[in-house]
Amino acid sequence: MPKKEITKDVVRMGGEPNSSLKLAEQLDNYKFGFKTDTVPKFKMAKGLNEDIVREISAQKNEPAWMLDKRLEALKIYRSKPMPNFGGDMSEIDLENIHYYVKPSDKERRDWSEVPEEIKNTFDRLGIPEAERKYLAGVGAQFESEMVYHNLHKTLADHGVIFEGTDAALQKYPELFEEYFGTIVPTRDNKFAALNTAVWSGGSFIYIPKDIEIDLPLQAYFRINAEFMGQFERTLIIADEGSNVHYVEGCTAPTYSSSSLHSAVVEIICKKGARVQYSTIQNWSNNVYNLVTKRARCEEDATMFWLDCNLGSKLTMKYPSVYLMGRGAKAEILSVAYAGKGQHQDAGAKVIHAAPDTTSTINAKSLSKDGGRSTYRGLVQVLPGAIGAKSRVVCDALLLDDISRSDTYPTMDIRESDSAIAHEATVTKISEEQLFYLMSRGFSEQEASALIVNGFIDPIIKVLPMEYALEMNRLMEMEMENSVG
Amino acid sequence: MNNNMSQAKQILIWKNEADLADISVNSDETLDVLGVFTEGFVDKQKLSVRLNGHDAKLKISLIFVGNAEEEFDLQTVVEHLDKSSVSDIKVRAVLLGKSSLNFAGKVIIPGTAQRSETDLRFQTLLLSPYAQARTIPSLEIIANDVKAGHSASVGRLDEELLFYLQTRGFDKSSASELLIEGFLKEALCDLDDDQQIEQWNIISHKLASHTHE
Repeated sequence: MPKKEITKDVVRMGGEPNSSLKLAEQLDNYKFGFKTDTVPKFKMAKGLNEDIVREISAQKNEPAWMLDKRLEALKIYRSKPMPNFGGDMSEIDLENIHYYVKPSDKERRDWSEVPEEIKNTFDRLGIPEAERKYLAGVGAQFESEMVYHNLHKTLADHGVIFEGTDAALQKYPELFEEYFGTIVPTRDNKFAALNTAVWSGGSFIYIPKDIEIDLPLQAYFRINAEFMGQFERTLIIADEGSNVHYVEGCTAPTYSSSSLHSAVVEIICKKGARVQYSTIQNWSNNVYNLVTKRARCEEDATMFWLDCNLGSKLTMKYPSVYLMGRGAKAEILSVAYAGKGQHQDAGAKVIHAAPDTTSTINAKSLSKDGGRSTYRGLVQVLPGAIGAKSRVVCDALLLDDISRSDTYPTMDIRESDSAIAHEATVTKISEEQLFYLMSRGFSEQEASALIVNGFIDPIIKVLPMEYALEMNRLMEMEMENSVG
Repeated sequence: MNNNMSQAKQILIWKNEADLADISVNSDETLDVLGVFTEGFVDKQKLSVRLNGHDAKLKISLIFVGNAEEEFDLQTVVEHLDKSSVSDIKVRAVLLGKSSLNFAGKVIIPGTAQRSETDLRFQTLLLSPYAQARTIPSLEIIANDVKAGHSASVGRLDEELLFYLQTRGFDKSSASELLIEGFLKEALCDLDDDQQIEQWNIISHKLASHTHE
């Protein structure tokens, strides 16, 4: 069957990007820190118990197997200890959180039908109609539920599914049951169990055989309420020879109390498929972001994680790829920025379980104003994964003498016929580079910003245009008033 | 007048597990440590290394040659406590049979140790399909005016180098021997001739015991 190509019917964005964002707005510390007054349709009391789990399931009118799975997950969650590595989680009060907040009565297909306050929120976030046109499909999650989902009609005609995860459970129960929880089992870790117990929202994507989508699908996640826990669940199934790029963005208002975001993302790349998953994580500095993201790659499939962590109080996230078929490939690129009071404990995991599999990990981190960034990674080559190749490069930039950078890479090699290499460096902005740029007329601050931009450039380059611009703007904002 | 002239440079040689001892290096001191381990460890070992004073310089070079079911399990923590201290750690392992290496090496540079430098290098050759290596070279850095790097590699002998030597008339096994010799001998180059010969005899004896199995 010849490959079907969905051609772009919209010209790439040119001229002034996102001009609605005024400079003054950008200079605010965190421009997404506003909150909107919305009245939720339904808000669960704080805390977590069996009744709450039953109520979530009932609200969603779920089949019995899903309720059973949730209840079992709750038990596992209770029995598992908190992680003994990573960041400080002592301040998080898991009983003082709303586990489910339903913002509107149902998911919409038409942006004009989305309730006014919610629509305004997303408009203020700079996801206006114009920008949405450049995407093949868009989803928006507000609190616990997807409020909007839309897919380009040509794609739907080709059998592509892009739904809210709750809607998908109702519409495609068989496909759903076949894959749900197969990549990240409930028992995987405490927060994966918590997510399985109370999950709500997220995206469900199915790309049929040999379909290539050359425009990204996008989802936007927003926490608006105080003491809120968001537990989206995303499942992406890329059938043989298909190709898709999924982008997610996340923001929240700045409250004095902490919120929790604990997602599970499962991705299946079948033979020869390619999935790119890009994240621009820009939660406000009071969000604990504890996420499990994992992909399984079959023969000749490629998984590409692009992970940008700028926000949150503490992020613990290690996108993983299990290379299960011959010739499967994993590529992970990440940028972490840790500012005042932030800890980015991020990394990557690749398990080589088949011959001729390859992986590349490139992690870059910046620490400033007492922030702490950590690379925590694993490359494992199992016996029999003959000819496996892996290369890991970590670069850290420390922008002052109170910030911290850690690197914990684990290499576990049980196959002699493999080639594995790791490199890491920690540096500051060099005086020589600064001096050179300043002798060419840049101020010290401009020069520092330029060097930082150069440092993260290899990652910016693989982002879609709109996001690259957004990332550059965010980095410039963060670099204000910094001297190397 | 070169200040370094007055400092006695010490070389410490470790031959087995029992020799492993915590190290501290004071201001302006320079210490070289060479460890040649040709017998598996009985226990998990921990080694603490502290660079206590400014301008302390430390070079550690560890060689592991494992065979049969020998295991090397070592955890090393290097702390730079004062400014301008330098540490250079190189680990070379050749693993045969079902031997395994489990090495966690950590370097900590707090804010008090500005202008320090560290380089941590792990190189492992897996020469049998059953040999295993697990290495965790980690860094915890707070001082910003530092040079800190680490690298690790695990793999087999380079096929191209083997091929090159074979085109020059070496048979495959002597070509491998030559490459292994080159790989390990680099660690011995700071020793005087007699010591070099003595250490190499120990290593080559171990390597030979494998080929005659």
